[in-house]
Amino acid sequence: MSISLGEVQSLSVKAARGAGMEWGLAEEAGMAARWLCVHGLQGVEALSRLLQDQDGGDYASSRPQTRSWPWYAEGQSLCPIKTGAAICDRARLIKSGEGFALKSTAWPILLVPFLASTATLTGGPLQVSWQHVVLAVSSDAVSVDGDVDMLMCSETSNVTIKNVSAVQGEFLLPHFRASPDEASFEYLTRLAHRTYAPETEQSRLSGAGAGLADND
Amino acid sequence: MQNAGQIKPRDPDKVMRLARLGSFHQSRLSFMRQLLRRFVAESWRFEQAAFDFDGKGVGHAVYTAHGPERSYSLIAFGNDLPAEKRSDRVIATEWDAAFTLFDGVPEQADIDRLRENVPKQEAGRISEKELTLSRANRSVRLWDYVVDRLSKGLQPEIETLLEVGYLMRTTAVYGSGKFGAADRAQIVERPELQAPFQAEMLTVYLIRCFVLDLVEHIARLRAPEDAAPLDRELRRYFGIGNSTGLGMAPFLINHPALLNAWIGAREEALCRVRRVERAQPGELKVLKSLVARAALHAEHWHSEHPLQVQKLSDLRDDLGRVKHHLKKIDANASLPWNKLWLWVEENLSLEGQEQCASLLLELYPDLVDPLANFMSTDEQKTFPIDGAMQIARLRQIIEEVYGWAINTDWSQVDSQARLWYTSEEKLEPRLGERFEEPLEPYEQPLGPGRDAAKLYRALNDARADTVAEFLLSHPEHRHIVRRAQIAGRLPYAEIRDNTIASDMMPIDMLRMKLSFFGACDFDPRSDRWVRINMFQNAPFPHELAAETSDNWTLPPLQFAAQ
Repeated sequence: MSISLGEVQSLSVKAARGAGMEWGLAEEAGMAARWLCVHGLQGVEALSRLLQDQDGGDYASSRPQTRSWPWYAEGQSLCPIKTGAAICDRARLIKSGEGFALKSTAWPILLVPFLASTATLTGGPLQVSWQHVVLAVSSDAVSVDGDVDMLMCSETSNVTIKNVSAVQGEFLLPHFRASPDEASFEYLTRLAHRTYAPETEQSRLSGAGAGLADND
Repeated sequence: MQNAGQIKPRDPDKVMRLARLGSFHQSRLSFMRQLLRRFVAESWRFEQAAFDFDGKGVGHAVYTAHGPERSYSLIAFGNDLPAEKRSDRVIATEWDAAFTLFDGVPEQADIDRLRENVPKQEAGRISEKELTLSRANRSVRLWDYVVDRLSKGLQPEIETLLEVGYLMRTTAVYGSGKFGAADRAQIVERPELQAPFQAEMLTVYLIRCFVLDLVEHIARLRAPEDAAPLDRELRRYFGIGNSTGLGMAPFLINHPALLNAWIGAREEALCRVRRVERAQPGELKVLKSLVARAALHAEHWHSEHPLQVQKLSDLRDDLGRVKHHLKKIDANASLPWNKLWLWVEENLSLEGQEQCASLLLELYPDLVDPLANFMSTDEQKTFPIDGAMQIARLRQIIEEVYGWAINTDWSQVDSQARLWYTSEEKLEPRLGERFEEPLEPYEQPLGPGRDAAKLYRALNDARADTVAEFLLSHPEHRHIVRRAQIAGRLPYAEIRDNTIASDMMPIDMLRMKLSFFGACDFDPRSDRWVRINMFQNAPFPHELAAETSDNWTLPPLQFAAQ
């Protein structure tokens, strides 16, 4: 199936909200899924699997504990959306830092869009690696190197991020469409559905504001 | 006495109130106006590439617009719709006609594919080769009347035309990635589509050409010997109607940077005109003529909605007073338009004030039109949160932008009686009664004032120094923090009014957006949907010329005599 980037983003926001994320984080999830699709990566699939694992889980257990590096989660693994957002929020710290690491992280590919935002905010390219796959991001380029099978790794025991001078490796070209696998798309659609209110007779009549005749 | 340097764009606390936004009028910066200026500046060429319809209106047509580098084609599908199925509500499933704007010139295979999908609208699927998806219903009373007159070789009476103003009414024009269409990202580099909603406006412009051709065609099929085409002047009088519902309102709240770009351009334009030191000879005369045409437009503008009836009465009075006032003003004074503007603010209703703001912009294309280049935004740039911001600064922004909300008593039922949600049935935005229906779990984040007030309270107890620290332990405020930071940078990004109050009128938001499209004749049909007219009086493709491309929106004065 071929879907537009706008569809990827709005579906992802709703699905993340449907899975229990706060609106502001659900917006981050939508941005991340879209960004991955723009770069030909499997944003819909990764988000779908992440939300499947996280559904109903609480925020506290997968948020990063940030007192010192490496960051870690009190539960099993870090959520890449919450962690990515926290990294991007600290963009200025990362510019001045030497690089940093994360402990056990779920679906690390979902971190990459946040690192790209961070690199755009600071102007300094970043390199991220896990399980022998390496990506580099800057304000206008993305490259991938190493074991690309590990892009869709469901969990990694650590992630390393460091400042680099330039993006090198195989560049990812922009895409204007996404072709997610149907199961992932369906799953996000099911989660998104939770954000829709069941219709009642009252809401049907009043909600959209039928009043005067609409046909003349 | 002010000097030019002291004249500033209007304060957002004044502009961004719903009652004022709901009184906006089209202007030189409106998207339809931008589109027609481009047609002439770049000598666009138009052709009817296909037109095949039976006497019941079943068939298809293709209208192609050729720009300097690219072509765009409206593909129209006509349907013989039984009367009982004709509804403007988004719950309808069939329409008199359905449309898509194709990127380029379609092949037969494209038309075959689209014939299977476009008439189904939301239930169908379009592709990256299409830019918009739309549908329209006939105005039954005017359509049948015009076909009847033309088939007898007669022209329709202008009074009857004026009661409706259009033969077909669109009920949605979807663009930008909806239902599989091309994303804005795919086309945004094209100069002709850089301004907002240009693909949508082009769609409607071509729909208007199609509808007028269709009504003449059907009259001709009914009476091949006797039928007459419409007189040129009467033809111009037909616009394309539109019924707009709640779906449009959340768009404005969900795109704060874009809202700022639109309002900011208009406010800067008004400010530039107010700063003009001396009027040139003849400008006062031009303004008088514009006021007379605006008065004529206000006379032709009908509504049954009690609130709009009152606003129209105020507007007509206001324009009479402006006319009288213009006789007395000194065209040779310094800062003449600023003096006029201060009088307008002092003496006229909101409708009258905003109408005058739009009219003043007409005088200075050179000052105003370049601002059209600043009405788009790259929302990715405003998305990231500045986590390094100190909590004290965030508090200060909330006090500046959401002062009204901090001072609102949110424990009162009326202050948050409403909530926005999406219905399962049509996946469309709806407005519900918070305390009467079990809808709260489904609430959309479309009440920024209340959320900002909540955030403000939470910040009082926060131990964090920076936004990043605060958000890590308070993810529930992430959405409103993003908004507040955007509104702290962009003065017109936020509606400074309560969007969930018991007395909130969604039509105010609809009207503001539609005025930027260039729509006229706002006719609210309830507090939450509105009918409008688009491209009324606009030149048809063969009439496009420098003198017509930009002076068409207000009716010509010759209509006053009729």
